[in-house]
Amino acid sequence: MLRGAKMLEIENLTVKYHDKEILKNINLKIEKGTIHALLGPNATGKSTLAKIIMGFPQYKIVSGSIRFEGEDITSLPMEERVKLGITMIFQDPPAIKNVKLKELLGKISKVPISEIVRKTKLNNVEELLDREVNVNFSGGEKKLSELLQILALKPKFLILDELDSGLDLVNLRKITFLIKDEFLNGETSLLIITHRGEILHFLEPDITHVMVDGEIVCSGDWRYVWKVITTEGYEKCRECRGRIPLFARRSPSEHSSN
Amino acid sequence: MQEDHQVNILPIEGVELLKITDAIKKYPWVREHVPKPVEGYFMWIKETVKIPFSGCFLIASPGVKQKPANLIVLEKDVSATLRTICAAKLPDLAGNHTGFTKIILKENSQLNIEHVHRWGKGDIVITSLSVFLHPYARLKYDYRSLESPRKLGIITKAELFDNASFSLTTAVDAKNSSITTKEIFSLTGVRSRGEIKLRFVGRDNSYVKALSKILGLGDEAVGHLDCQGLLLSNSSHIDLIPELVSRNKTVMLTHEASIGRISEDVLLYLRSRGLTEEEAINLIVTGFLTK
Repeated sequence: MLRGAKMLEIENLTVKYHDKEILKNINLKIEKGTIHALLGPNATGKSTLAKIIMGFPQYKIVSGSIRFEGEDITSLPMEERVKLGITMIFQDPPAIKNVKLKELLGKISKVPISEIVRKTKLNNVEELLDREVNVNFSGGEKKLSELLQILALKPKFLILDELDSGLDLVNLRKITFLIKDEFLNGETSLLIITHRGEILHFLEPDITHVMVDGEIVCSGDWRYVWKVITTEGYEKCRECRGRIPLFARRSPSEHSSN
Repeated sequence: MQEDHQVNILPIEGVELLKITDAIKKYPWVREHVPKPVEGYFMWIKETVKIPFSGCFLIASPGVKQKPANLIVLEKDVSATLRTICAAKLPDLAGNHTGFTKIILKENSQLNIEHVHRWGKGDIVITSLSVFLHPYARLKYDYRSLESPRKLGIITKAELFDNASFSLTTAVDAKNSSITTKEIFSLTGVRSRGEIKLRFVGRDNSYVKALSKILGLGDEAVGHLDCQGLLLSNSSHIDLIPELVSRNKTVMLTHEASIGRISEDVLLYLRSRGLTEEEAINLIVTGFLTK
């Protein structure tokens, strides 16, 4: 599959949770090797969309479909989606008592653990491997644990759900650049969910979407979107709902030729 | 090794190893510890054995009833590690294993025992362990039942003299099984230390009951009970009944006990890493039983 080929296609997706409509008519197409970002106020449905792409079963898909590399995965169990190459970094992963990180990596990894450790080029990784997964981990350690797991899984499509939460700028930069080195090779696509601008600067997404009240209301160049949000807030997006065209909107191919 | 009722003994340097019936003829004092035995072994460890050595009880034929009575004696200042396996060769032999083992550790001796049970689903197994720890003796006993029989009963009684220590770990993965354990530690000696650590997993159609008691008698004796259950099915029960009894104001006895489940968040998280629900449960259960 060439860069630019469709990797993830979400069409007219409407989702309910406990009878409440939480995502409305979502349409999103992510091409191979591209980076998309998703911004939006708290509790607007961004992480829910990530979990639905992953296949978390507690949500009810009322209508629409999700396709991955042409295959309809709308009803596919989560572990099968992982086998296809879909993975995410969790905002706040749960603690798993009695299971050491190296044991989990040993179960899921497609490559030797030593190779994963070497790739991170970080000092405190070995010590982390012998600890129970996320038990008494700091914010930074949780992200490092997540990073090790995605390096183990070698996904084709990676969702970063608030990678920047709980990370100082220096560590965010380190981890982001590791992701860049490892995955931004034209093969892997990224969906970044964030509230902060730094990660947008570091990864420079091809397209940035704004989600408000469970709907994607606007898509365009991250610089322009970020400027609108930081100067006028999400209220502006809620009012506009994409009626005013964003200038400087770019396609993935335009981005790659820059 | 004993298969059904057939015993095979290999010599180990520093250890006198006999059939228990032969040991009684050779050493009449053995009868004081193991009255009227019909089968089993006598292990007299006279010198330190640096390499771990193994024992095995196997049910290999249908309907076999084993009644081993064993005596292990460690001489003063020696140490050893023993690995034993009790198992059924096939899962549906419906055997019966009723065992009794007495362990006597003389002054300043040290014994580590790793004991694994892997029985068939139709077996009935009752084992009793009686432990005497002389001053400064140390016993570490790790017992794991990885495939539980239809019925499993384990009784452990221990008496600890001055400065002796006993650390007992019992880990049982129960499915279609009725499990009863009873532990009674008497901390008789000054500064004796006893620790009981229990881990039970209750899968489908299982009932686990653990009665654990530490009795603090000797000056500055220390005892700790750590009982944890993981209940995986509504068709299972786990009852943990810890009991601490102190008869000396200088004794320190503590316990922690909990029965929980695997959280849905954890299962979903592991599935998001590509594990099936069954693989995720097994990963957590293995960790729970081995730590």
